[in-house]
Amino acid sequence: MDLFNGAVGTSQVHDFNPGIRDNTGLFWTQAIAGDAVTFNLEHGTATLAADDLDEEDYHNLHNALLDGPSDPASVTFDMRWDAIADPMNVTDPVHRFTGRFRLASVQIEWSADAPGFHFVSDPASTTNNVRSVIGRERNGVFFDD
Amino acid sequence: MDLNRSHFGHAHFWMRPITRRGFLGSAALAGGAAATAGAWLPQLARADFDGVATVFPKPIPGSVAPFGIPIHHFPPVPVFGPGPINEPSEITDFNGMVGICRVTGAGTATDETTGATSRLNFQVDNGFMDGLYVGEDGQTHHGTFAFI
Repeated sequence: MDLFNGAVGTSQVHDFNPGIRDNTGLFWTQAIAGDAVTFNLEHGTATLAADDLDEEDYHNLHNALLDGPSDPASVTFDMRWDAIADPMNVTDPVHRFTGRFRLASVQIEWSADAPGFHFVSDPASTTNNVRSVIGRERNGVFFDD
Repeated sequence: MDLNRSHFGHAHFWMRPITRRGFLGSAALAGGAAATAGAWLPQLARADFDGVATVFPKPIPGSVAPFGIPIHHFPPVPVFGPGPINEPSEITDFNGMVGICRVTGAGTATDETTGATSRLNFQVDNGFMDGLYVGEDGQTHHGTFAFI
């Protein structure tokens, strides 16, 4: 979750994520409670919500990718996917994933706290959706199931 | 920029209890998700459905290299083909529901030392994975993960 003191992609000042796992490279992924997510693929909806989720603030993307110095931080967010297209079956034998997916639009309202810093987004209705997807996926050992 | 050097080489947060105050959400919504998932989750994996996973998943094997730094992640915007979407999941040996997004917007920042406020723009690439996965221990588990 990135903040910029300018246009998106320029003059980044905060980069909130959980870090990269040292031994495997698991990327910015953290376990959450099962009830933080709801989904209904047929209706084309999903939600993800968290309150005061522990993160680290790497301040910029390059430092984050290097898993460099960081400050403790937390984020709170409430986001919703709504499908904007019919389901499509996708199989990608190159990257070995398959599934049924729907392009979607996402709205988010979120906040972040770091030492001496607080951010709150504008209302969810002001979100600009760039590219969003929900779906059911199989990969790895489940690819050929 | 004042980076806290004491956090270099720090432990990460993935698998410890997730929040300081707990998650938003309702029992009704959680029940709905469980009912939906029941149609496709093998019985073996459902015992810990609403819990927090305690075994690390493994990352997807390949991906991109921003700044020449290889990472295990595909951006939400599909530029790598051959499919119409990039792989949404961050974890491999996975069978479940996924969501990924890229959104932008704006908001208000407050310097809590001075009280000064300023406008900032944001980009958020968040997502989730909820389903079966083979963990680092080689066993099959059910878990829910956020990509932040």
